[in-house]
Amino acid sequence: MPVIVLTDKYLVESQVSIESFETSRMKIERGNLITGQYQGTGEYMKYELTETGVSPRALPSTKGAIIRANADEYDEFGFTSEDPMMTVSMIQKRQKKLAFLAKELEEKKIETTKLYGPEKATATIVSWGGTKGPIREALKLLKRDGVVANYLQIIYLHPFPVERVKKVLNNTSKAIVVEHNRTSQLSSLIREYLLRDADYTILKYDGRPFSPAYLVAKVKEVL
Amino acid sequence: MVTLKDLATPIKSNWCPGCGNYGILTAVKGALVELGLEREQVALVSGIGCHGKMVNYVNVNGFHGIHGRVLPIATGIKLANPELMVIGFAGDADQYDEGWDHFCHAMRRNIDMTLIVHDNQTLGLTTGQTTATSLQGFKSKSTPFGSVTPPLNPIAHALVSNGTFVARGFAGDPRHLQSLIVEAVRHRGFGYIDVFQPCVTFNYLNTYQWFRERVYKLDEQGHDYTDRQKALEKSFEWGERIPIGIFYKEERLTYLDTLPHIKGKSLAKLPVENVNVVTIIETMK
Repeated sequence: MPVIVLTDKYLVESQVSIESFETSRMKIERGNLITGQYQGTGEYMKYELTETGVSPRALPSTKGAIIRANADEYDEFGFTSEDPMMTVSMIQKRQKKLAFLAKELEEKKIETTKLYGPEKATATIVSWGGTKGPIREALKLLKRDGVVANYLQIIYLHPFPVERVKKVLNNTSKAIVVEHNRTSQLSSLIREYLLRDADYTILKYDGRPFSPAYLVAKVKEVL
Repeated sequence: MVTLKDLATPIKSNWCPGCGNYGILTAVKGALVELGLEREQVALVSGIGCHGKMVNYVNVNGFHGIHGRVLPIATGIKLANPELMVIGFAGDADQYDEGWDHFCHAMRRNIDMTLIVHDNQTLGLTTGQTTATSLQGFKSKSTPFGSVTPPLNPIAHALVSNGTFVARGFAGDPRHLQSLIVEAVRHRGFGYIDVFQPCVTFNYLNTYQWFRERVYKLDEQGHDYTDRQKALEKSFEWGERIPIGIFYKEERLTYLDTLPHIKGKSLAKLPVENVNVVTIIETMK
């Protein structure tokens, strides 16, 4: 599945010096990639319908494989298709990939969320993305002031880690969603998957990042 | 080496009978056979318009992009994998309206690829509107009283943008067009061909007959394609007689030639599984 990394202005414009660290432990897994020559029988199918929804991937110039990325809907070979049955198959294929991903995340015990602070808390900050730095700083300040707060970082928004988020939110008195947007899209996801509202939202949409002091003041306001 | 039979696909064409695209398709297939390439070596990129279906009708690698963005995609493919022979197909509205900025910059960058513009002087897929190459006075759905603006001159623009291979073909003469495509592909640099491609359904003005009465071949008139000034003069010839063939050709360093650190390497094929950044950082200490 192709992956697009979206980042935010705060992260992009941040500069930080860190100690050099070993990167060889990080492995780039390219998945079901055909290397060398395509060995299959018949023409290679970029969008082959499979059990998992994932098709073996070949890069252009792979011997024996013709690759086509084409149109809004296509058949297994990547030719434009307006066949309604094929459209249904391809939509189901894409759905299967997400289910497969969710299963794999579970099986491989990949962190889809990360909890900072105690398991049980008076207030739980729920957030995603570049807000992590100021939130972790704010937790320290809140602890100093005697507030038992924790922070649930959502690493995977889709597929949404339903069980994990449910468990953490059941252990808190107040779920506070912190986001850099006007509509609190994370609250919408929580409502969609957990059938509950966030207790409070702290939203900032003035083009400036959160500061730890700002977050501490806002959290105290709602406690 | 590929044969015409290898290049056929099972997809039924949805172009109108008599469409100029058939002439271009015939010429492209003929050129791929003449060039003696393998199917896996070729990457076709098409944009939005009737021409965009090209990737369905030639059985080689094919990538269908968004409106006006044939050149960014094609450039990316070539830079990531110089082993691929890249041919971009665009329409006149696609390249000269939507993708105009990419066009001029691709000329001066001199990426080693080929661009074929299916120039039918109208928006065929959207049922006939005026484009950047529609003639002044052209009546269409978007200009019912006639287009008030003169067309732009893509050949002249290519020349002043430092293009290294600038040519024009005619879909009504696929044999001549095939020879131009072969030359453009063999050219080490950016090979550009504007192709008169009559739209038999929506362009009532610039028909096969209209072009047949006007086009003449530059090489038959002793045109010297090494002279940019002469080529520029020829590019303004329009009306009773319209030149086709190679206007200008020169050898110049390609974009990849100027990047020695990646020259001769196929980035797409470099291993990424075991990258250790530390070794690079060590060299900077």
